[in-house]
This record gives sequence, structure tokens and C-alpha cells, in this order.
Amino acid sequence: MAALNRLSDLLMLVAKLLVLIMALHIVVDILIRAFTSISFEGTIEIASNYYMVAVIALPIAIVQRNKGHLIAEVFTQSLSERAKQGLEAGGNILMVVFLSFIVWQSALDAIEATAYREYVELTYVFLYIWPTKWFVPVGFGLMAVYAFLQAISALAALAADTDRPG
Amino acid sequence: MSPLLLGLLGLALILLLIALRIPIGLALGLVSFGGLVLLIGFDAALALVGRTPFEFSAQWTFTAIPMFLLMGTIAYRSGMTEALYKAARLWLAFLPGGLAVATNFACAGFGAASGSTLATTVAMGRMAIPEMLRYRYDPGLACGVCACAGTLGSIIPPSILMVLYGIFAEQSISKLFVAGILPGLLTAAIYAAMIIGRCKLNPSLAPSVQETITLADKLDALKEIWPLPVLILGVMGGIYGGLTTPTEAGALGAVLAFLIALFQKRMSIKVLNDSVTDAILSTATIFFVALGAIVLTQFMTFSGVPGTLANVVGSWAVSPLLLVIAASVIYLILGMFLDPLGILLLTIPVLLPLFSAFDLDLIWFGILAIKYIEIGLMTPPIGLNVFVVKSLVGDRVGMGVIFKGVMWFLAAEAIIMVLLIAFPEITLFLPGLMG
Repeated sequence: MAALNRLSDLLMLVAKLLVLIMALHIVVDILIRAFTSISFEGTIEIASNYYMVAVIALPIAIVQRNKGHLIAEVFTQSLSERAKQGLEAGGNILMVVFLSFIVWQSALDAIEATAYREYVELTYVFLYIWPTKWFVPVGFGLMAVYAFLQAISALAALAADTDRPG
Repeated sequence: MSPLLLGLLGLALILLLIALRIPIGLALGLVSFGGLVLLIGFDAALALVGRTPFEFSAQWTFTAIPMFLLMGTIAYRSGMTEALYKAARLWLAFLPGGLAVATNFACAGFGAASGSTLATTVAMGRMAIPEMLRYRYDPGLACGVCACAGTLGSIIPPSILMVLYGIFAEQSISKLFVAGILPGLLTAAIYAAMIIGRCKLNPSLAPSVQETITLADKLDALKEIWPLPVLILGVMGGIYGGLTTPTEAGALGAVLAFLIALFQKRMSIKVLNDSVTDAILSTATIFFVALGAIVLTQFMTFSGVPGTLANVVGSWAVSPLLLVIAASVIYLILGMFLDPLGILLLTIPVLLPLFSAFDLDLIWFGILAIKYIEIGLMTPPIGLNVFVVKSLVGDRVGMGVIFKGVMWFLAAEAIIMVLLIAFPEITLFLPGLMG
């Protein structure tokens, strides 16, 4: 668990640095365009293919770890703790199922993109984008691991509850 | 099973799962994936769902979301809200219910630096509620004004909801931003009139604040709020002066907020780190719901639900007004128990084709939808924003008391919505000037 948390913290740190770099990069682009006649390209491609994918895929495991998803509590808030735990376990199992599909397909895509070194073409250079194709399977994969562990611990809590006499 | 029936059953199942506290993004995504498997086969559905996270996030327009969130978190964590509240308080204290009126306008002001209702409510509520309670304001009024005026964060530009609506509905984000200005100011003005009127008729709601405020104090307080006009000028001026696109304006705003905080000696590694963490986690949370909504949009398209609904409604030959009213009812009901983002993204794929079919202005519809969603944040039994305020005040004020205070603002909202529906010009006048 500690190793898992270190890994998700590391991904979060990368995302934090990239979001700051993104802000600077975009502003530098605005200023250069406004005050010089130098043409400066690639901002849009780098921001979308690198920064944005990183900002979303890398920290998403932390959202799962913090149980930070948006949920509607209204219909279930008066249920017993036990029932809520049951729903949480169910939700986490569904989450693992859903994420498995995403991780499977995105990993296949990442392998393929790596094999032929996927890039987007700018005027003078190629911008390789195959490395960021790995952000999705890594980030969502880690998220799935957290969802799995949370499902286990919710189920364990349920079982412990049943064992308790009277 | 016909695709149409499948689509409708899918929507029902999504609502059921959401009610069972399944994360909203998961409910949207998993059910829609299941539906797509039945409609287009497993391989095609898998390819669609598995590629969506990359293709959806790798979009230039979306950079606006983390950037505007970052601008708001930096502005808040570097103390801009305090300065705003202080100035509003010194200048408006003479009015009946002065502190509440000040809170209302400070929320409107911070709304121009923040794109999120939650951020605005928390930032203002933390400061303003204890202050009002200290002066023996009616607790319902004190909490109600924060829960309701906090929603100005999403109406007054910039607004995360408008960016998302613009992307999903393929509408101009600059136009949406301008379109929000007058409805936002109208909301703040009607709220203020309601507060002043109530406090004038019943002075015990808001005992007058006994303190001597000199003109020098007032001017000093004004000096502290210069960052707000600078930010507004930077962001809105950048967009409408043609220097930046609405997408880039977020980055400009975030860097400006950072430089302002640095200049005021309020920036530190901790402030920066906390601001970035808040902004990133909000972005990731929003995107998980949006991912689900993208898959839902595909599912709806393949099932033909929106087209059929549009035909049915069209064949009843209902008037556009009836459609607007029907949409209002849908939003009010969903708003009672769903989160704003979930509502927006769940309803766009279904309602938008209907509005297009009637040739109704989609900028106008966007602003109405966002207003309704924000009203949903105040309505019982759920009213997320009321819960946010409740979490700020703890046991000091009961939930029933807060909702009672909010009722007055809901009455004001009824007037505001009638005005916005009856006079689309209020929304469309400013964007019309843009040509």
C-alpha cells in the first residue's frame, strides 16, 4: 500500500509540475504572438497531447484513493452503515470492471503507438505523442487497483460485521 | 429489444445506479458501455470506450478548465476574498442588512475571478457567516445568502459550466461568457433588493452594526481590491480585445493571479502547492464525469432517443414556450438530487436536439440551463450548496433554519427566471453586440 501511495503521489507531482508549465507555456505563446512577429508553433499540440492528458490521467488514481468521486447521497443517507458499505463494495467492483475495459484497450493502443512511434506533424518537426499514450493505462490502471483494494476492504468489513455475535 | 427502448431503459438504469451512490461518472460510463455493446457489438464498443479517455482529454479547449480553476484557487488562497469582503462590508454597512448585502456583492465580485460555485461559496462562507453571526444576524439569512449568492460563481464569467456547455453543445465560449454577465448582475441586484426589503420590514433580522467607518477606512479598503479589476481586465479584456482566445484566457488569468499574489507578498510554495492540488483534483474529478457523459452521448446517438423525443415533441406541435417550461421542470426535479455537472452532461444529449429543432437560441438555453442547475443547488431536499454551507457552520445552525433562509432566495429566483425567459434580450443583448 505504501508503495502504491508513493507511486500515485509521484504521478500527482508530475501532473502538478505540468499544469504549471502549461500555464507558462500558453502565456509565453500569447506574449510572443502579441509583441513580435515570430511565429511560434506547437503550443496547441503540446498542450492537448501532453499537458492535458497528464493533468487528467495521472492524478485520477488519487481521486479514487481519496474517494473523491461525485456521488448523489440523498436516497441512501438514512441507510445503515452496513448497507452503505455493501453499496460501496458493489460500486467499487463495478468500477474495477469499467476501468478494466479502459485499461485493456488503452494499453493495446499505447503498445501500437509505441511500435510505430506515433507523432503529429507540425510545420517543421514531428511531435512524438506515443509516450503520452501510456498515461491513460498507467493512471487508470492505478485507479483500478485502488478501487479493487477498496472493494476488498469494504467486503472484509462486511464479513467482520457478520461474524460478530449478536 | 428496439434501440429506442434500450436507450430509455439505459437512462432509467443510470438514474437508479446514481441513486444507489454509484459514482456519477461510473454510472454514466458503464451503463452506456453496456448499451453500446448491445447496439454496435463488443469490439466497436470497447474501442470507443477505451479510446475516449485519451482522445477526449487531448483537446485544446479543455485546457481552459484546469487553468480557470487554478486562477480561482490562487485568488482564494492568496487572500483576495478577504479583501473583497472587507471592502464590500465597509461600503455597504449602512444599508439595512448591510453585511448580507456586502456578502452578496462580494460573491458576485469573486465570481469574476472564480469559475466555480463551490469555490465561491466556501471562500465567502468561511469569512462572512461568522461575521454575520457575531453581529446577531438571523442565522437563516446569514447562511442563505452564502449558499445562494455563491452560485454567482458559475453565472458570472468565467465559468467552468459554461466551458463544458460550450464544448458539448458546440457553442462559442466567448459568447456564453458575455451572455452570463447581465443575468449574473440581475441575480445579484434582485437578491440585494430582497435582502434590503426584508431587513427594512423586520430590522431584528439584521441588527445594525455599530462602528464608525471613516472615509479613509473605506478608501483604504478599496486599495486592497485592485487585484480583482486587474484580473477581470486581464481575462475578459484579453478575450474581447482579441489578444487571447477564451481557452488561453484561463492560463493568462492563472499567471496573472500568481503574479498579483507574488507582488502582494502573499505567494509561497505552500500557497502555490495547495492551489495547484485543488485545481488538479477538481479537474480530474470533473473529467471522470465528463468521460461517462461522452460515452452516454454515443449511446444516445446510436439508440436514437434524442431524435425520437424531438419528433414526438414536434408532432405534438408544442410551442417553444412549453418546451422551455418542460425543460425547467426537468431541471428542477433533477436538480433536487443530482450534482450540477451530472445534470448538465446528462441533459445536453437529450434536450439540445429538441431546442435546435425549435430553432431556439442555444446560448440563451445554455444560460437558462446553468441558472436552473444553480437553483438546483439551493433546493431541498438536497441542495448541495446548502450542505456546503452547513459543513462550514457545523452545529451552530440547523439544516432546517438554513433551508428556511434559502426559501427567500428561491422566491427571488422565480422572479429572475420569469424575467430571463420572458426577455431573452437580457441574456442575448451583450453577445449580440459581438456580431
